[in-house]
Order: sequence, then structure tokens, then C-alpha cells
Amino acid sequence: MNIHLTNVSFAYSKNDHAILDNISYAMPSNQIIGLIGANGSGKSTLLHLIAGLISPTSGNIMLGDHPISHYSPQKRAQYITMMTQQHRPPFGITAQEMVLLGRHPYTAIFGFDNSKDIDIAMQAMIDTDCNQFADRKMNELSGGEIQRIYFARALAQQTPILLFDEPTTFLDIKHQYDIMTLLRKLKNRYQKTILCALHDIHMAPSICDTIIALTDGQLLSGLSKKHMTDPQILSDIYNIPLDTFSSTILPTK
Amino acid sequence: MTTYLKKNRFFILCSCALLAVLLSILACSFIGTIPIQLSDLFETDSLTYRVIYYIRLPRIFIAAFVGIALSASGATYQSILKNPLADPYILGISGGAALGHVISISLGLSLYISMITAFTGALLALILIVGMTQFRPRSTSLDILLSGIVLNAFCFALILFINATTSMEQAYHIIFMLIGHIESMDITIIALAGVFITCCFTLLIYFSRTLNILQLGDHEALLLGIPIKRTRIILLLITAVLIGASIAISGMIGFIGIIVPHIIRIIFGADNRLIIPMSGLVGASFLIIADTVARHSLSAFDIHTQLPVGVITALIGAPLFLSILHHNMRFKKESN
Repeated sequence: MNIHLTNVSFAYSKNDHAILDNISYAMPSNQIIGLIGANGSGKSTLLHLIAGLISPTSGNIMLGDHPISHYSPQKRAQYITMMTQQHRPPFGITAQEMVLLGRHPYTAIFGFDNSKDIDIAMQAMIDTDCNQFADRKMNELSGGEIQRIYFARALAQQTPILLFDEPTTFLDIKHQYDIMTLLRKLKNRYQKTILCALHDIHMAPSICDTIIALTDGQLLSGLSKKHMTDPQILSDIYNIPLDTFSSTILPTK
Repeated sequence: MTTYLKKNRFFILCSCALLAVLLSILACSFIGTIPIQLSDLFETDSLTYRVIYYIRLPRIFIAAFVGIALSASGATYQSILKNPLADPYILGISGGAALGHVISISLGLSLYISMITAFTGALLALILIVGMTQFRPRSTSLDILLSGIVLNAFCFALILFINATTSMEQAYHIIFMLIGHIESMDITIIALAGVFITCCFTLLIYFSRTLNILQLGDHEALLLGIPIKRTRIILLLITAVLIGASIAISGMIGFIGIIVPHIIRIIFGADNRLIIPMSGLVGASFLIIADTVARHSLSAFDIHTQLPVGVITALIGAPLFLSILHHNMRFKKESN
């Protein structure tokens, strides 16, 4: 399943300036794609568009041979899922119950989980190192633990395409590292295509196969490690003066 | 691997609740001022036969259906609107249904038509309340309760206005309906309401897992493959049928829709797959027993009238409601 964007534009209302302006991009499959850009550059918007949560103002997003809007929500949830920036659920279900909700697109009438679903959820929790609090209530967990639960739920959905919106916020360095190595492992083991919005331009090249950037509604693709240390390109992407880099942001030799 | 709702636990709990309903049906048909002769149970011309089959059982079945309808729709509102205080009575949906019902009574139309007008009333109230407040970005959960209270007051005023213009007999009926009163009535009406309520209850059970996911928020629900708008509309339509049917056979019985789901939630946790069926079944037993108490309690004091069942549910419900509110406030303070 490939994602293919053709001439996609998006604006929140007619009179607003376009957040995404005529973007075309074919997502390479079975790769980790890093998405960088300044706050408000439209990273989340792009992820929401691909996940089908919002529709583009113009243009087409194809999933395989059909536009993404042609899939039923259930079918779509078997191909794409996204891990959003998290909040606590309003009611006290346990961590494991939360992860099992990821099996919902596959469960039949009356929604009982069979042992296969439970195994998949459990494996996802082991992968994200959160099986030890499977029985705890969601509202008793810390931000980082909740983050990992949602990650496990996204894995339990077993979609070929995974979208991540800042997967490492709230995580300490150990778990940031774990999640990142897990992303690589997943990609190799399950042939997943992963699109991952990131803030950390140093981390991006180390885990991503390719990097794309959003700036002024345009998409720059095919960036790599050497671009991430190029002051000219970073200054374009983040809209900051060139001389900032020499002093503060980039590591000095 | 013990916490998640297992089929076994679900079926054991639900069969216990079902058994409780059957037991209360059985027990309550033997309680009353007229003593029951077991030997006469199948003698068609005996007093026992007539009392049980024409007076008590129809009442008990109304109570069971209404209990299911109100509790299950209360549980549904609480999770779909993400508001623990939501209930058909407080949201004004019952008020709308009652208004529809009263209009057709005052016009002298049949009970069948009044069921349809009650459904229409519930639907209009729902569209007004939910459409006006809930799905606007800046409305709070307080807004919906406030609009419900106002709508309720408005419907009450209209009902009392109509009441003033009707005959004595109709006025008597209307007042009892406002308090919530169960009395024996035409068996076909009960059967009709029963069919509607059972079907809708089954549908709600079917949607109970979806309800769990809807509580997580719109984006989450979409990512997990739920067509949210369509699901919400279907769910609200189902509750409108439930409430319309129950108002038409029993009037406005308050508080069931809030106490029963809350008790279930406190005991069994927040999983809607358990809350919806259990609320319905426990609600049925609760209302059967409450109605038997209403029917029988005054005769203990040698007073030969019957209490409307709404009196009993409000007597139990109001203090419970306050204590839930109190508990919620304390919980909020602690978690801050």
C-alpha cells in the first residue's frame, strides 16, 4: 500500500492562507520518513490529511489505487493509523484494555476479543516495554507511560502505514532511544512505512531513511544527514537568521 | 491477562442480572393486597388468575421495559455526551416526549398515536439540546445540563397549560403521567412498546464497544475506524425510540437513568460493554421492585390508594444523585 499525494492544498477556511500549498509527494514504502518543520508549518496538518481525519481543500491523496476518502473508516483503520499527541482518557479503563481497542477495526459483531487479539495486544505491549503495567488504570499512569500505551495501541492495529506526531515528547532519553530503535526494528520486521513528525533535527537523520521538510506550505523532499547540519537549509526550513547557527544551535567542533 | 472483559465474566454477570429480573417478576406478582392462591394459578375464572394476568403482570412488564429503556439510554447519554450527569429526565428529552404524549392525549387520540408523538417529542428535544450545545466547539458540559433544565421547565409549563384546558379525567391522567405512574393497560400497547424497547436495547448492546471508543474523542475514534457522525446519530435515534416508547406507557419516571448506570459503574468499572446490558437489566429489576413498593406500601397504613412509582424512584434517586455529585466534587478536589 502506497501513499501518493498529488497537488494537495489545505486551508482551514477559504480566506486563510494555505497551510499546505500544492504539495505532491510519493511516500516511499518500507522506509522511515522523518518530517521536520517549524511549529505551525503544517506537520500535524499533513499527518491528519494522510490519516483521513481531515480532507484536503484541493488535490488528491491516494492510498493504493483509490483516494483515501473512498475507504470506509474501518477499512482505513486497517491500513493507516496515527499516534497523536496524547491526553488521558476520560474514564478509567486499564492500559491493556486501551491497547486492545487497537483491535477494534478487526473485531466482529458485539466486539469480543479472541485470544489472537489479546496475543497481538500483549506483544505490542512487550515491544513498547509497557507490559508491566498492563493492569493499571490509564488515569494512574505518567505522561510517558501513557505515551507508550498509545504507541502499543497503534502497533496492535497492525497497519502497514504508521504515522507519528512527535512520538518522543514526554519520554525520557532511555525511552526515546527505545522507541526509536523500536521504529527501526518494526520497519524491518513488519515491512512498515513510517512517517514521523520530529522536532529533533539531530535524532532525525540517525533513525530516518529519508527526511522531508515543510516550510511556507511547500514540501522539500530527499533531505539527508548532511542537510541536517547545513545552516543554509535549516535557516530556510525554520525561518531563522543564518548566523544563529554558528553560535547556538549546531554543535560546535 | 485477567482484567479485560472476558466472555465468561460478561455472560455470568448478565445471566445473574437476567435471573434477578425473572425472580423479581415472579416475586412481585405474588405481592399485593389480594392474596394469591397457588392452586388457582391456572384457573381462568378465579380471582387469582385475573389479578395476576390482568393486573399485576402487565404492570410488572411495563416496569421492566421502562426500566430497561431509561437506564440503558441514561448510560448511553453519559458516555456519548461525556457527562456523568446526563440522563433522559435531566436533559429534557423525557420532557419533550411527555409533551408529545400529552398533546395527543388532550386531542383524544389513541395510545398508538401517542407513542409516535412521544417519540417525535423526544427526537425534537434531542435535536434541540444536542444540536444546540454538544457538538459546538465552545460548549461545556454545563451548557447541555442547563439547556436540558430549561427545556424541561418549558415543556412542563406547556404540559400544565394544556392540562388546564382539558377535562377532569384527562387532567388526572396528565398529572399522574408527570410524576411517573405505571398502571395496567391494553396488552397490545405493552407488547408494542416491549418490542421497540427490546430491539433498541439489543442495538445499544451491539454499539457498546463503539461507545467506549467514542469517549476517547473524535480523532481517536476515527483512527480506530469508527464513522463518528453516523454512529452518534444512530445512537441518539435509538435512545429517542426508547424514551418515546417508555414515556407513552409510564409517564416521566425520573432518576432511574442516572442512578442505575452509576451504581453499575461504581461496582463493575467503566466498560460500556458491561454497563449498557447490566444497566438495562438492573434497571428493569429496580423499577419492578419500586413499582411493587409503590403499589403496596400505602396499604400497610390502611390507605387504599397507590403511590405513583415516580415518587419512589425520586425518593431513592434524589439523595443518591446528590451523593454522586458530592462524590464527584470531592474526587475533583483530590485529583487537582
